[in-house]
Amino acid sequence: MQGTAIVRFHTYNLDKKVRGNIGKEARLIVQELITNALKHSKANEISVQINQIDGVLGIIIEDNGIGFDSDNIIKGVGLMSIEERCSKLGGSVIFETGQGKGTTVFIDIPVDDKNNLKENPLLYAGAN
Amino acid sequence: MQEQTDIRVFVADDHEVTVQTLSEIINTTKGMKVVGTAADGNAVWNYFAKGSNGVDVALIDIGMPEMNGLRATGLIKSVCNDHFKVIVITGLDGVFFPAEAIRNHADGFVSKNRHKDEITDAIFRVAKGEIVILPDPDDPNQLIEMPNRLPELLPKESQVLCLVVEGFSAKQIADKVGISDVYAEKIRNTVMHKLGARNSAHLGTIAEKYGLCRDRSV
Repeated sequence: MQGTAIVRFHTYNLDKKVRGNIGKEARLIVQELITNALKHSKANEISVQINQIDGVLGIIIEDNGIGFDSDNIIKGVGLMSIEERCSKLGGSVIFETGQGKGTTVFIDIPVDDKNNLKENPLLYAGAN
Repeated sequence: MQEQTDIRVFVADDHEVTVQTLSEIINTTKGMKVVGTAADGNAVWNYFAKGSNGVDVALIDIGMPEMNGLRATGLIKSVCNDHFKVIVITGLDGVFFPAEAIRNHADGFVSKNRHKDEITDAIFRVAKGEIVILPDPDDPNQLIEMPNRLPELLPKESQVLCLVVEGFSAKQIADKVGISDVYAEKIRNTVMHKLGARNSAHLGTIAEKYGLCRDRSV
């Protein structure tokens, strides 16, 4: 059963358009993480930060819920899909949690085309 | 009919003569009237704690007892709607006061050394949504030091900033704020970027300049 929570949304420096499908993918990742938090965390506050700094789109999603034991978690489709999406974008995911300690998820997605196009040429496939 | 269209003004100053003088200037200007006054920061907060209380524009002095006008401005702007405007006023010297007023979400800064017509004009303009800065004409540095509106810092960002400025290590900051080293480092980088700081020392200079850690007691 899905819970309810106050979601605070903060963005910084997002005035530059990111190329390709990064924006769409980032939105889906944020949606999935909020849905997960509402479904499982029993949090009543969720904070979402999206900052664009030094060529990296940094997403931080923090909740004050029950957390989970990260050593014994069996990853569901949702978490695996987030890792897969981030990986496709050349990004990284870090989960910080513990039982009773809430959960904070850090996602970094490179958006600086000069630095990343060479290393990951498929990143911008589909860019208009 | 005129009653409904008058700009409703609140005046806060610890000097009774100033309150009376400003009230007289406002009440004798067509289109505005004083609807409330206060003599210290706590009284200001009590007046606006539940919202604008029907006030359109508040003139708030910086140097008031109990709570200074800058702090009071930040507090009341956090609970009032966007229609409610604040003009910070002062007769004190201080090149950073206009910047600090804006940082505390004031809509204007007017030196008490300005002509009465400039003060009433500022009230009209701020009520319409303009940001008005009228520094002390004898202290042109006030305008030179005026920055763009500083980016807003989230509560954890303010905490980390002030701990960096106080010289705590990354590990100590993480422990004090109750977050991981990774998170503390990310917050530090975000704050550096938001404030345009080159390094921790520069962060300290900026925090000092704009009084970003002044209200903290760690």
